[in-house]
Amino acid sequence: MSQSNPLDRRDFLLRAAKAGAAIVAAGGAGLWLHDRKGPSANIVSETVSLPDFSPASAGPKMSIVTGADRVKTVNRALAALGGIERFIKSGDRVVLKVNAAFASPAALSATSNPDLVGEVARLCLRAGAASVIVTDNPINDPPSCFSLTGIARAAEAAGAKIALPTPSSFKPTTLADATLIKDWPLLFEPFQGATKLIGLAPVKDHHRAGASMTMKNWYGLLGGRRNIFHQDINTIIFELARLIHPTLVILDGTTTMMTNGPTGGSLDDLKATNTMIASTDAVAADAFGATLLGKTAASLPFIGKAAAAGLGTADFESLNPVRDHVD
Amino acid sequence: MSQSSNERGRTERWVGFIILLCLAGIAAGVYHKQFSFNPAVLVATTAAPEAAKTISSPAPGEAPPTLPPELSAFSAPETFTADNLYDKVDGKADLYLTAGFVGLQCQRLALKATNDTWMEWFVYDMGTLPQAFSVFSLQRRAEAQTLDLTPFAYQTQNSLYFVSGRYYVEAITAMPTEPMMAAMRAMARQFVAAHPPGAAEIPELKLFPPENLEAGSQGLQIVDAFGFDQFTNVFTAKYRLPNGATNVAVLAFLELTKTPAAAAALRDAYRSFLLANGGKEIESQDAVSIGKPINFMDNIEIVFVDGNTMAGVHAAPDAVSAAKVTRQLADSLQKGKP
Repeated sequence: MSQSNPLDRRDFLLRAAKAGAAIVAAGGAGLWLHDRKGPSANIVSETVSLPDFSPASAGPKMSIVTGADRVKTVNRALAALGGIERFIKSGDRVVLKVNAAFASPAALSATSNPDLVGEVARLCLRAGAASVIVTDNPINDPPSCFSLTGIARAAEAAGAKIALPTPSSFKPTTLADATLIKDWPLLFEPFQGATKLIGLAPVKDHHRAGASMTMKNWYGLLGGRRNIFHQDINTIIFELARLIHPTLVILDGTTTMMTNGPTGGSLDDLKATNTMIASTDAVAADAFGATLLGKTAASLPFIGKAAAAGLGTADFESLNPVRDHVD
Repeated sequence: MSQSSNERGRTERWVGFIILLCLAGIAAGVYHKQFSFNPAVLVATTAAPEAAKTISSPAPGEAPPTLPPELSAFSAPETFTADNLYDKVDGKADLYLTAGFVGLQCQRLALKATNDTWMEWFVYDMGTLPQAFSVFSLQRRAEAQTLDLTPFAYQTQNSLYFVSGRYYVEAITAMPTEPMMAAMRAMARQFVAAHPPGAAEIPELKLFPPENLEAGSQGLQIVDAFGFDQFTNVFTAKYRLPNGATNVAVLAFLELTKTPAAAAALRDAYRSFLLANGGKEIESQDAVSIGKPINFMDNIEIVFVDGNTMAGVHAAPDAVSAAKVTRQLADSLQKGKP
């Protein structure tokens, strides 16, 4: 091998200049090609957010009423919290977010019970609400879901209006410091002008989340290809709990879907647990609902995440829930 | 080599090292970015799956569903693929997708006599008989009544479920009148006649010993059985052992692998998984020589190998019943050898 010549000053400067030029060229090309904005989510309208609907007045936070008649138990559960008038004032525009996910009959308990939806709508109107809108973005075809579940008929008979989702009903929303809810379409149209929000959810087993209750119910406010969130179901439920601050949640454990949720299908999947829960703390409501499924709050990670973030308490007994029974 | 040459070599090494460090930093940045990607962008930049198809006739190549005379269409038929199954069954889609789901056809059908008494008919094409059996077994209702239709069929008070070849079929009504239930059974028979199941046996199920076997308890978990991600195609069967006035339940399981070495590796991996998650090997006079019991969360696990079969018991309430079922299973595996 031949001995290389020592580098003299001239060679060094020449090589340094070439190297510098190469770096500048590469950097310049990179800068020229760099997409500062990154790929777009094709957002065509400004992002929106829902107001905080949680009640300002103090009072009991949770009631648990046993009994088989939903109309009676929900009335007693609300009375225990100070009556519907504590939450709904004259002129309020109320949104009832139901679970109308599937086009299946009420008897299969895969959706909110129409008797309960009708009664809560009636109570809101009786308390002076200017309007009650019942809405959801179902999994199946929306008109079929609201019709075959009986929710549309019950709500309209009570004087409420059904808001079926259309493409224009959705606006993008972003939750601060979120992993998943960024520029994501939210069912927003029914909330325009709304002053109160009540969530009405049944207690169900859920193949991915372990349980579907009040916090999972907000999933029905998402649009788009939301099924991608199923891979991280606990995080999306937690983020929804951060995003939505309802006036009240009502968890219907009159009939609990114990297995094969969230669709169920067989009456053998159901169990009469005869319990109605009303709460201003959705975390506590879900923690109690877990017990109806024979589970614990600790076994459902989304409850732990929500509690750790201060969205409510998984120790529902610490709220001293008002307990009652109606025959 | 001269001193300046040495210095130059050292400088070049350092420059090279710094460049490699920069490249590693860029790679780390790109890697990190994958975990903070905006899902909305992901959706916007990938093709949307087709919406559910509402079709007026069955898919080409499929025999048309033969309706019994007492039923008529209550809605148009719908078809779903793996891309949009979620649009029909939401959170339960994964159960089918991980088991090899191919397609779903469903339709609401009404009793002609009433026209408001209706049921929904679901035909899941699962690709193979074992895959259809898997989703059938994972959803089996405890209080089910066996249905004399195919080897894997049952009905509940308002629905019926069966496997016919590669198809898993559900018929569900919220109005379980006797005429409706009879119409559902008639439709099921016509479906089986139109789609002969062929060889309806799953050989692995015959490896389980019949003594104390709970009827209809056999199952197949295609992924993540017992929370262990290396288990694939684990067959299970529940045993009820007399225990005074009551009985205890023990779940036996087995998985066939390609070679004895693969079975042994799977056994070792599962034992390591149990021990790494708080399990403790226990000494027991009832222990069987083929597998040392592990106490895992106050239940007993035993896993052993017979040829290319990895087998054992899961979540047994005590070492005695665990050992008994293990011995039975081991004997049965020996007898089942060709």
